[in-house]
Amino acid sequence: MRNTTISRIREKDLNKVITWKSNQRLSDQIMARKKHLNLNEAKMWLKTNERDKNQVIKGIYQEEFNKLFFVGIVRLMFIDFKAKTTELGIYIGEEDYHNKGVGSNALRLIINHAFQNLNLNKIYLKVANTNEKAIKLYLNNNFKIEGILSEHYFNLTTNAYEDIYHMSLFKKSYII
Amino acid sequence: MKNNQYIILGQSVFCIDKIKLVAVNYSHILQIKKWRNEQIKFLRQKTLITDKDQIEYYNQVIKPSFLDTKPKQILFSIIEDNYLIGYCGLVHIDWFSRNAELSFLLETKLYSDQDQYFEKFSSFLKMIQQIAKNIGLHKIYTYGYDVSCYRFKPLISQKFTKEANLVDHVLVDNKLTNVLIYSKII
Repeated sequence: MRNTTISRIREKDLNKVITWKSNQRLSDQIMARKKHLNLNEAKMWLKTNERDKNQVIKGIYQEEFNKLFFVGIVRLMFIDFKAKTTELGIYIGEEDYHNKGVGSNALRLIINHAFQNLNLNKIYLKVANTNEKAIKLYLNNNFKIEGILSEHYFNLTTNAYEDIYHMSLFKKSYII
Repeated sequence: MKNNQYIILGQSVFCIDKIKLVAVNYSHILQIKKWRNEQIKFLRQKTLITDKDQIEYYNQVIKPSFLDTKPKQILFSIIEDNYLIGYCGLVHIDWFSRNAELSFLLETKLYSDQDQYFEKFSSFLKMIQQIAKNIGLHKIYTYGYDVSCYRFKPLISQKFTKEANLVDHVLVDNKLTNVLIYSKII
């Protein structure tokens, strides 16, 4: 799928964020705890994250039929401008857009932003061992596994412990 | 000096040999602040802490957590012969996954004597593991900068496993440095 962009999350899209954050399965997939936000809390959540100088938060938008659909969120967190590192978080909240290459497009866009615009040197992330598609996507983009934290996340959907992979990508290993 | 108590722990003092852990006490926080500032390059702390910051942190974060049945952190002063030698604790406690990060800081001068460091760290490490077990945690882990291997010896001797080596992850003394994660299922 083409025509994926990442840009500022529009206030009118926050209802989708509220839905995604309250979805247990999606929350477990990205190892975040389910949250029930109202619209004001969601606005505050966005404002706080956008104001954070050590973070970039963007919406993932997919263009179809000349319309932009808000389908997910991508974040660079804990940006350390001295060590030039950041933690990446990415998810496609709209299930209809899973397995269509949207995540892959968004990943490349945010990597380019981190390395070229922000001049960072290392992007790292954490992913559950059960999220095989995501791990494959990261490996295909030259991320390497730096460690495996065993039985580190308790998945409330499956009622089981999962291992967490620590993965990272250095600028020198990334082929644009 | 009256000891504080974390309601979740049911006791206020833990002892092994000469080393005692007590819930972090107000009278210790400025000394701890001084050590944190002296050792800032080894901590995630980005700026120097002021007295006011530290007092506010005690009143707004630490003190209320004594009464919390699921606190996000449990912090102890480490005492040897009635003398404060550091602090340690379980932080970022995840009550769903039942894990926590072990955080610790010893008096700055103790780092120059490797044997003393090993002995004191080993004592409080044993107690912290027991405390973690008592409150139902499944795993504890700790992050450390890969600057000197003796710092990890007490962990290795108590069967902690190196689970990750995060390459060139932080800047210490203007040099990119690896971060190691040691963990143990308890």
